[in-house]
Amino acid sequence: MRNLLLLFTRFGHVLLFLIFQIICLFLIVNFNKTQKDIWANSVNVFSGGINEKIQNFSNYTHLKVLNDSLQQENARLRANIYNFQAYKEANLFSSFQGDSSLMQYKLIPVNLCSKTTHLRNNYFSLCQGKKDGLRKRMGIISEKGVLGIISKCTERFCKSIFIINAQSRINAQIRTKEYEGMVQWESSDQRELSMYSIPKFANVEVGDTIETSGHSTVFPEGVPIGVVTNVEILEGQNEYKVKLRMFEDVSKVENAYAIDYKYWEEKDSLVETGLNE
Amino acid sequence: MNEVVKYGIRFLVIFLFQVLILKRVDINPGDSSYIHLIIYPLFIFILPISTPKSLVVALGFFMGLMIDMFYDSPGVHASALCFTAFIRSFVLRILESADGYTTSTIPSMKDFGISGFIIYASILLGLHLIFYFSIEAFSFVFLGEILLRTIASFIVSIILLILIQIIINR
Repeated sequence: MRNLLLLFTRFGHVLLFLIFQIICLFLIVNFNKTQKDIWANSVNVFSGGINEKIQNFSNYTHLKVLNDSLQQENARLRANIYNFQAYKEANLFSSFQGDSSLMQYKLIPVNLCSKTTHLRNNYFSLCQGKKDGLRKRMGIISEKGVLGIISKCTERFCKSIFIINAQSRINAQIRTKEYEGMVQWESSDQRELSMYSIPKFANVEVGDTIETSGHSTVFPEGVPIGVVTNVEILEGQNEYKVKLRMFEDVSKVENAYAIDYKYWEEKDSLVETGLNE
Repeated sequence: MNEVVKYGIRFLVIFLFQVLILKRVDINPGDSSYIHLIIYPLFIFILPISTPKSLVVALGFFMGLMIDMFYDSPGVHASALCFTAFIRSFVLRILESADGYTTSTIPSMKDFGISGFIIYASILLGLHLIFYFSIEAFSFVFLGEILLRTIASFIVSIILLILIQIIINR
């Protein structure tokens, strides 16, 4: 306390000076027109800059929320596209209404928890599980293309086979030409896939887009996979071997969508019956 | 008590001389307004050296506020005179001679001598005017104008101030 008093007797006039200057500033700014205008203007410039910084920061902190809502919306819009395509296929001449009975595909936004991309058999896991409506044999797609298929689901998490897994096989077609083939991963390059079983007369060219065929219950028709970079005819065989480059860089993906096909049980049960008999 | 009355009277005289007479005197050529007659800091200049620094600052602020009331510029003179009162102790320390001040020293012509007092008053008045015109313009965009006004006002005011000091000391 004594020290405080000593300090005050020593620097009291400095403190007093500062207090008086603040009072004066207040008076000047409040009761003098020119100074008031200059002050208001300068403060605006200054606080405008600060406000912008704060706004940027708060925008940044809201990115997660924003991202989630955008992902939701994307899921809805993409589902509409796939549903429309599926519908158009069946009913060429009638117009599409957003009728719930026509909504065969539903997209569920998911996030990748972890993934491996450097092994031969690569898997990734999702932070969503059965409680979010996921199940086994759902296709996972990202913004730019196919990612994989769910192989196992628990209450909160799912494990999925990556498209860059040596065991992954995905039924695909060439856009606009509609010849089908099987896409698999053979190389060590994370973005290079191979496609087999395209008949020799299909006339594949470099630059063609490969997309899913929509003949399984996993993916709807028209989800892009990659672009053809190399075409060769296998020696002594009647089919092409096509190399393609994936649109998606799988090592960077964080957000994706799971595809829920409404009639999957019905369709899959028929396939199995056919196999058994 | 005697001292308080003495400085109270000085305060009143300087204050009234400033706001009643000097405020109305316009010696500017034409429509320009570069010359402001400002002698009221004299009150702060001639306070005894033994006056507590806080009291000097407070008196400066108070005197400034009183002047502001008559100049219709709340805070401007108060801010400037408060600043002048604050830096008075630094200026006094710089001008301190080898044998220092005694407690009864008063920064006046009698104790400082004419040249000593002129130097002392010029430094303080110059700083006061720069500060005052800066606050009045409130922006260094008008730096040229601030300097011009300071110089013009300084020349006239310091002559007036020295004359008054000479008259008081008679």
